[in-house]
Amino acid sequence: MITLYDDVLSANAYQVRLLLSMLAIEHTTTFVETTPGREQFSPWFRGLAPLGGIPLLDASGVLIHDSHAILVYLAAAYDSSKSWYPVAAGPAVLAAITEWLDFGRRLCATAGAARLHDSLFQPTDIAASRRNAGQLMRILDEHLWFGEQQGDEWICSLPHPTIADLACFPHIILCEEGGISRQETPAIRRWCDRIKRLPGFVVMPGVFSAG
Amino acid sequence: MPIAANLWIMTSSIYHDPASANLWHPIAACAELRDGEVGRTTLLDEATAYRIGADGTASVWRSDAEGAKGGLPCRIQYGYIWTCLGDPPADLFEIVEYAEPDRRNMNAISIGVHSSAPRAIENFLDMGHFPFVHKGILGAEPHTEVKDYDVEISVERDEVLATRCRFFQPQSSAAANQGAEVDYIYRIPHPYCAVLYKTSAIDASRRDVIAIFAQPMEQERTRAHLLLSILDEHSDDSTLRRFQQTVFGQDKPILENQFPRRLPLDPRAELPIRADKASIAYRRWLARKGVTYGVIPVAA
Amino acid sequence: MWYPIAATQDLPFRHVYHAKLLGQELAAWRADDGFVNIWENRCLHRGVRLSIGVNTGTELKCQYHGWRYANRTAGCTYIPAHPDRAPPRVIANRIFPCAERHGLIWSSLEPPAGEPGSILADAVETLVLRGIAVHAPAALVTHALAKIQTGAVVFVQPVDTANCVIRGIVAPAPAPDIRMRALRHYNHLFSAVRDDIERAAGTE
Repeated sequence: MITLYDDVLSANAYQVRLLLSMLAIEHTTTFVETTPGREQFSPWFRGLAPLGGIPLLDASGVLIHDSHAILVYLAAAYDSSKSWYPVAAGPAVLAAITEWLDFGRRLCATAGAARLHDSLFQPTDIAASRRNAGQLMRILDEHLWFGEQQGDEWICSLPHPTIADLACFPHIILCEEGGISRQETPAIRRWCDRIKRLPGFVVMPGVFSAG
Repeated sequence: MPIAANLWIMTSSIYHDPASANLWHPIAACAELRDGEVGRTTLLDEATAYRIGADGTASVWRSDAEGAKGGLPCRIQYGYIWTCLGDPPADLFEIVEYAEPDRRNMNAISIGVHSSAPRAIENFLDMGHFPFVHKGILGAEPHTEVKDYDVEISVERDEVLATRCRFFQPQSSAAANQGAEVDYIYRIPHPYCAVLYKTSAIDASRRDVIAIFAQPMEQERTRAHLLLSILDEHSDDSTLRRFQQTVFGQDKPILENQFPRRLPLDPRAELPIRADKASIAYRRWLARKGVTYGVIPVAA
Repeated sequence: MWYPIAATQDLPFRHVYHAKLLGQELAAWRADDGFVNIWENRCLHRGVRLSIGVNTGTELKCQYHGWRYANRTAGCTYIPAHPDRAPPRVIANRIFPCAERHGLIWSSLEPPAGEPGSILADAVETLVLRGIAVHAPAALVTHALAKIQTGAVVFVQPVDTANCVIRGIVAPAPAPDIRMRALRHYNHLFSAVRDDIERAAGTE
């Protein structure tokens, strides 16, 4: 049985909630209250996850921390279509996915940090976070725009989304909470609409459904 | 009616209208301060710092990079530190339910939002958005009708009251496990605070209390402190908080996409409908009080 | 005066496009019948952006209270809080003029005289280049672009006093086999102009 250690306002956990839903994976949830409880620093949770982060996955006793590692695990273990993490597509594709997982990490450190600063008063250099997030978003917008020109709808040039899309989506869709606008990145806005229309898409507080 | 500028209070180097300056404002939830820790925040554009001493009393002072600049009045009430940049009123409004022994009292969250305090208050009073913004929790289509309700501006108590508010809710609280028509009372006893009294899912003769105490950090930036004072024998604290965090988290992107960010007090500025009676009264009450912070006053 | 605010491709099926022209925010959406609506980006009720609303194909639905506004007329057709009452006729969003020409969507803040000036014969097929947002005033960018020979027809959309978008088209459109190369070439060229200007102004 899979248990997800989760928090309702966590953008990183949202990446995992999306894949769990899209793959219809049965699981239980144990909530860890990061605000105001700071439960992720409690002894019981630290015992499970020394780095203290949410999300954490317990896959029948195997503990996996870090949202990207969890995405890889769930896709490899549960995706019968083999499309979310398409090992058979070859090393170049896997490398591209890994590059974009790193990009997602950079979004977390910039847009994600800006959101936590503005919403929950966590310290950061807010001007630098916003500026750097804007630069990353320009890069993603350009990448998605050229993809559209070639008939691609997702971050990787495949006819289906991958975990790279899920790694980037939450920090992008919640970026306004950090004072970052998506008005200048129309290709990103269209990509967000496409993600919202995927079967199994779920919202979180701060995200609107496709309607 | 706008207050003449020569009656405005000068606090440090910033002028504030007396309607905003001579008020208790919430600046922090006590439970979130660790022993001896100094917290820092902004109130009405001014930097303040605060701590809770070993004896449980709070102190608040104006602060800047150069150090402490001057003590401010302060009090602890409902689990929050409150302070005032001008002359504080003798009392803060009362919430009698808070003292009941079987109440679960807690701060659900203190969360920043890119909007003015009055916009946050007005959203809290609004029921029409329940089936859309809080779909499946506080409302659901096709139950979208906002039935007529009653609104009163009480000069004697200096507050706005909306009663006989009724709405069908799929899940009205963490304790509720089925849909019900819930009865609401909204009370606004302070320009930036609103209190909701809703039928308890456990005891229909009593009411859960949920309040928003909006700390006006800047004119267009607010820290919303959400108080819960509710009846629930089963859920743990974090379950109760999670419900409220979810609800406010859903309101956030609406507030942050609402313009102008300051609340327009001129009745012709926006298009109210019958369902907006409470917000119409709230805007009129703010205008009468001469509140200028976080609002666009009626043109002279 | 007409300005380009989007490319035709920026308004796909059931999308709402978030535009800004001379400080005015706009919500642009294509209905299922092909009509392009350009409205003030504010629901009349409580000022929530329509660009976060839902394009149903025939109506735009506000995200806050579900108010619905009709294609073409921008009239409010449904207020869920009072479901049995027809909304007053007077509730209609502010409409801005729209023209589609050369693969771009054009609008204007005041009623313009006539259609956008035809730079090219309408029958000419164009290649619409990627729009490049620049954190600098339109005049500065226009001046910088005038110094380079591009081979493209370039328009600069004034977003507000400090921002603009470079919108270029190549006409006639190049052969399909060099299309991507042309897109990348101009993207690189205009991005370099953007980077130089922003570096000089400190607005990266």
